Amino acid sequence: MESMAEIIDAIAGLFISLDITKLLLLVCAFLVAFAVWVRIKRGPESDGKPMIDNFECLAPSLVEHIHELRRSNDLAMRGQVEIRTEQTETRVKLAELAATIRALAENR
Amino acid sequence: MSGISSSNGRYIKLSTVEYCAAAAIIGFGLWVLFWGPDASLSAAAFAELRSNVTALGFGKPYRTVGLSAIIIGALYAVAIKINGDGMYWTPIVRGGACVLVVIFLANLSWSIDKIQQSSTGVFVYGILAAAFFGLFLANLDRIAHALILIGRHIRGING
Repeated sequence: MESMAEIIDAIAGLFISLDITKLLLLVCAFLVAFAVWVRIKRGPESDGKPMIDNFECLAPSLVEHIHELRRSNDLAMRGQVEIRTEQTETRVKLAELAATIRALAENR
Repeated sequence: MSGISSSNGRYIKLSTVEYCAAAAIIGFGLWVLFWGPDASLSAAAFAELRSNVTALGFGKPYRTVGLSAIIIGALYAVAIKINGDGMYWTPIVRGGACVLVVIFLANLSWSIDKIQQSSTGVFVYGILAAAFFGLFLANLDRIAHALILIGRHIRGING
């Protein structure tokens, strides 16, 4: 425990002996290194996000707009699927109706 | 990003805040140059700052500080304007300008503290240094991205 305290004292002494400029530069360099490490660890696509999110920091409004477009596109696609289903159902009903009319006509 | 913008559209863009910061840096430089030697930075409280700036060897401290502030502020504003078109260097300039201002203001605060600890200058310059440090933190992710891009470019990896 004593050696631990000595190490902490030595580190504290190191920081206290630095002037404010060097201390600030050290802090900023550490923060930048940490941010780079976090970005590398996260990876461009490792978190499942599409590539476009990599540009979020450079053009947030553009990325937001693209996401909105994607959502609209998804909704439109879903709408198209619903319309196609309804068309198929209508065709089936029309075919049934035509068959019924034909049967009625033959029976007349 | 989520801390800066919101989904309801009512938000202040980081670039707007940074433009104001750049204007403040340029304004500071103009102020120092306008009043000339033995004026803005002549107080006894700035003695340490003056000696540090003189040690850089660029002549009179007021001129070094004034011109440096104008150049840094202008570069900062240009970097904000160019933004994504210069992905390799604009984040570094933005972050670098903030760090330089933080160092300058912290030294200013420190310098006054040595003469008169109770001075409001210690508090005000300290708060301003903290505000610019906040801008540096807001740009941290951009800086990391730019450094990774530069690293990839150097190693010949695209993307």
